[in-house]
Amino acid sequence: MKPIKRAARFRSLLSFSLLPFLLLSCGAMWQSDSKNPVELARTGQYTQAAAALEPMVAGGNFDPAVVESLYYSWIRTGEYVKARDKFEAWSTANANAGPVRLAAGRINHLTGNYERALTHLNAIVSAPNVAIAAQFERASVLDDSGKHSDALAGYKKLIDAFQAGTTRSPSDMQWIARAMWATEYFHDANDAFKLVTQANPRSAEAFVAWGDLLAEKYNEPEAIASYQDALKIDPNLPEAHLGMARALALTEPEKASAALERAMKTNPNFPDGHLLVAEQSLDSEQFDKARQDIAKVLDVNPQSAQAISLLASIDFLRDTKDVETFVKTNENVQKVLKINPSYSKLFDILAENCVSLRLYQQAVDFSRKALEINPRDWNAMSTLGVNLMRVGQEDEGKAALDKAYEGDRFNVWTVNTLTLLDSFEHFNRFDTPHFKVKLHEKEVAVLRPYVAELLEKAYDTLSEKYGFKPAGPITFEMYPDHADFAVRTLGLPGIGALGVCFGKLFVMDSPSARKPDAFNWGSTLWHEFTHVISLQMTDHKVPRWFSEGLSVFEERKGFPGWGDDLKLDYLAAIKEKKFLSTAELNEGFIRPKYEQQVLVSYYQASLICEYIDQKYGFPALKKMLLLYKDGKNTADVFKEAIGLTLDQFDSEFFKWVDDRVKDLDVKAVTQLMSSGQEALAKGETDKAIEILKQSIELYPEYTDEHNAYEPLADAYLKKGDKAAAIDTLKKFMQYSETGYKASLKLSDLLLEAGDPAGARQALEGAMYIRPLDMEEHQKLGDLLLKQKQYAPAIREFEALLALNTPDKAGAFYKLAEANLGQGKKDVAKTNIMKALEIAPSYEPAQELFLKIVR
Amino acid sequence: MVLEEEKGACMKCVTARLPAFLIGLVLLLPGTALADSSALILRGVAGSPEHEQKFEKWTAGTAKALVDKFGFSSDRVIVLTDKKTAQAEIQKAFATLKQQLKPADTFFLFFIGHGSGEDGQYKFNISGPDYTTDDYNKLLSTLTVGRIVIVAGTPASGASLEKFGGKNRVVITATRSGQEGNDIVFYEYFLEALQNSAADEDKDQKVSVWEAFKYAVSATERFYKEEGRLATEHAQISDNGAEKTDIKAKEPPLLARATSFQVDRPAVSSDPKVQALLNERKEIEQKIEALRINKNSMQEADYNKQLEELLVQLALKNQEIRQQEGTKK
Repeated sequence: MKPIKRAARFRSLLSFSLLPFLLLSCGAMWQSDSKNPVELARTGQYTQAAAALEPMVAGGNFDPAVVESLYYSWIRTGEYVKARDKFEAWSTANANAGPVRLAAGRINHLTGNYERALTHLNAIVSAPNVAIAAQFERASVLDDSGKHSDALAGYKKLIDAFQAGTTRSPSDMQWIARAMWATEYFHDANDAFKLVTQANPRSAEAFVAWGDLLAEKYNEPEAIASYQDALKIDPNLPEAHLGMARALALTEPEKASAALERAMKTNPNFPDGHLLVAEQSLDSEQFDKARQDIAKVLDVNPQSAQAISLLASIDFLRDTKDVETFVKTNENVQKVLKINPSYSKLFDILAENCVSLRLYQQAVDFSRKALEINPRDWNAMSTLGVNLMRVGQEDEGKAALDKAYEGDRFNVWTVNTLTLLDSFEHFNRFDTPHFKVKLHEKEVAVLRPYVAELLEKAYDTLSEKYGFKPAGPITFEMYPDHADFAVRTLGLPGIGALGVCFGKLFVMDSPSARKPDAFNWGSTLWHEFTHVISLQMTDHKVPRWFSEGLSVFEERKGFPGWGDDLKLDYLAAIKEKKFLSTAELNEGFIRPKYEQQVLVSYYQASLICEYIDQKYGFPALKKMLLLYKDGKNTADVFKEAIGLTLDQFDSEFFKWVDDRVKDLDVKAVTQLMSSGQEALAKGETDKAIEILKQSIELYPEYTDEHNAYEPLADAYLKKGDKAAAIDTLKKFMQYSETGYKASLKLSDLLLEAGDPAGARQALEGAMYIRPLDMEEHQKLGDLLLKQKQYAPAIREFEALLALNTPDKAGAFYKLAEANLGQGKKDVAKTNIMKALEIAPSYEPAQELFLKIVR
Repeated sequence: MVLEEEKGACMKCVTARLPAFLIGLVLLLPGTALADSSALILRGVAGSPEHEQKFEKWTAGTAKALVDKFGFSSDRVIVLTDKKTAQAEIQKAFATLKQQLKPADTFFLFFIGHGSGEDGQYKFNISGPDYTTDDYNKLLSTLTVGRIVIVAGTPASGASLEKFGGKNRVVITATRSGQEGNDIVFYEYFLEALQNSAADEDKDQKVSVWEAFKYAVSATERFYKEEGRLATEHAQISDNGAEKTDIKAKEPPLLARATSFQVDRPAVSSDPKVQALLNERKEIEQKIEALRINKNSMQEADYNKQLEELLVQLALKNQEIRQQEGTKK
């Protein structure tokens, strides 16, 4: 509550103290002579500005605006060495020139020379025009060099002086805002930035700082707006472009990339820019590339704790050890802690990178380490809570999230996850031999038997195939609300995926979370369980592309029709040579460059697995997993498992892929499909059959909208050729995992044709598409009853009742029949009486009833 | 002897608890004179070929179901469409109905077409000036009839519910208010209920008004769910003047449940032995119905015991009837 009270005081003081200065400052601030070198610097023409400003400063012009403009012109174009050398020299010659010493302090801070920075800043804490800025910079240096308490004292002094009314200048106000931010008075800082930018609407730095605060507090839209305001003043401002790159990363990755490129173009040595690139390389497991960018950061600032923390992350991810041992022995960890013993962010970074690479337990361990150093590291507390949830420790996770919420109510991950936790009271939990399952109360009655059966089938099949029994307990959850699923997985709504695996926990959308026939829940479950195998088998070191590739590969073997086949988008990607090299394939998942690239990457990854399986055998795939577990990189894994370099592999793989589609002309096929449908619409059935058959022969994998199979089957039925219709639909179901209506039609035809086993398989396949549809439960139940398969028949009729079938009497009657078939007379009697209670005149039920009771 | 006394006592015990209306209903049916049904189907002005096709399908389908399936005499199903829905024609139809209908009969009134009701006043689009619900009520009041069932299968029909509702009336509207003005799918499924035996939940070879309503509402909900669309229609039912409700009603509306689309022709046989058995069967069915109504005020074990006994009796009675008739169903 304290910050809110202080905010009220601050607000009233802010408006009182700033009002006269708003009026005073406007006149000066609005001068904008476009040829003035200060103006050139302000509007992003750094080189030109520096050329004019350097002789001015060298000549003794120490006006704060002139000096500061020169400073920013140099550092925004990456001239750190020059800036340091020059400002050092000028400081030596002009020890009392406050602005010069401030610039010298800043550049030394930026380049990691903290002691030297403090020497300059200590000398000017009371100097006219620069005192407040120097005091802030000093506190910041103290913070970065591990003197956190001294830093806090410095920030507090600034705030106290402001409250006492001794800080009056609008240009100083932004330092007060930053001091408020540093001491967690976020609302006050926000208000202060608002006033600063109102007082000086031409200060791009102020807009950037405000944007950074908003971004830190998860308000991306307003952060973006603030960066855009900065860019209206200075279109080249690297800090603003970098802010945009970070803020747009999740929602508009292409724009984010463009913004980062722009920042680096202006300042190729930009440390924060290189840090972002390094983080991205780390995400996609390109460790060597990450190291190159980190090295560039360290060239500028050898003491950059953030950069060295990333090096520590690479060390850990490359050769995962026990966290405790790692912390004690890793050189980079020790280096960071020597520079700044209070730098809990080291462990935040380690935790977050572990999450990117699916090392959730390690993320928990590192978060705890961060909190040992700084119990107020609310980011770490949130990371701890979210990841405890992922490793199955719900109670502890909730406790951590509650604390995180108390400390920082802005954190959207914390808020969303706590909201989700509240909804857990509506979930039913049950165990199967290998799983702890959580299904929503409104669906559990119907889904439970199918989910339980498929989970155990997946476990038995895949653990035998891979010779690996995953460690438990393995938790499985299904969410009928997609937003809840998204929060459970990402902490944020908006995820496009259907399922996610964390190693011992895997979660997915329930069929009711999406439009009917949008996806196949059975293949999704199978896919995610395959991740359990590949993650656990490799201690979570399997690269993203390989894990996804194996999952889709295994989907295809799980049930006929499962697993994406050659869709139009994938065909187009192949024809347009958009497949990535194996070395870069992770990028296709993490930083897609075009809309369909993620799905194309899934497909490509699955083809890689298929190709290796076909050419080198399944043992090669297993061997690859074990090599990843040993910490080998992809190049080494390929070399050892199949004897090829990555380039050699790509060469033969791409040839294989091209061969598969060389005769496939997309235009020709789509034309055939539409003319076939046209012929059918006109009643030219024979013609339609010929055309549609041709299109299927050319492109059998195409089963999406306007496919040739369904109209072809209809055409055959029109001609009375049921056998041909059956063949057509059977072929269709080999490639389609969402053809629900076709499955039902096929089952009807097969039943008519005297193939109840085939009919059953078709209906069972349909159950993985729409398990909440009454029609198929009725058909399957009747079929199973006829086949005297009483236990599965009972499952079907119980599902009908759980779905609130209008024909309850019929469902109870058939349930009773099945119970009697099992020899369970008492249960049969209970059910038949339920049927007759609803429908006393129901004669078949009456007959069965007499059979039971007499 | 003991069994007879116990049964007699049980019957008294059961009937003592029945609400008065239900006693009347239960006791009335065996002795009721042959009741008949009439229907008036109004198919309003369509305004477009698509609507024309749809409304015609609904109208023709309803008329066919009434005659072919539910035993209406064809002269007792009046269909007025398009220009023939002018006020004068409707008045003529009511004049005919006034002649046809008797106090024990049931009258069905169907509205198929466009409706409006944003201002709270329901208007069904007919040829020429529209009638208000008050006007229709005036026409309805000219009929001497036992029961009236109104099915307003149009957008905005919910605006008519309060005014049409009343004693001995069942009113079904496709929407819950006059604000739900989009095209409806409810009547598509209501018609399906009339045509399809799947709507016959209690398998008594009849489709009650309540069964048809439930079937149509469930199917409508499924439609919107499958299409991934927000439902823009919510059908309602008003039973015997009670407040409107929907399929989530705790207790099924009694009048709607007791009223079927089947013309009420009790089973009769020329064979006096069979007729006696049919009458006995009817009595057992009524006892079961009374027991079911009384379920919540009984101990579960007692209820189950009594139910089992009655069900055995009913099943055996049916067997007797089949044997006597010399047919196996």
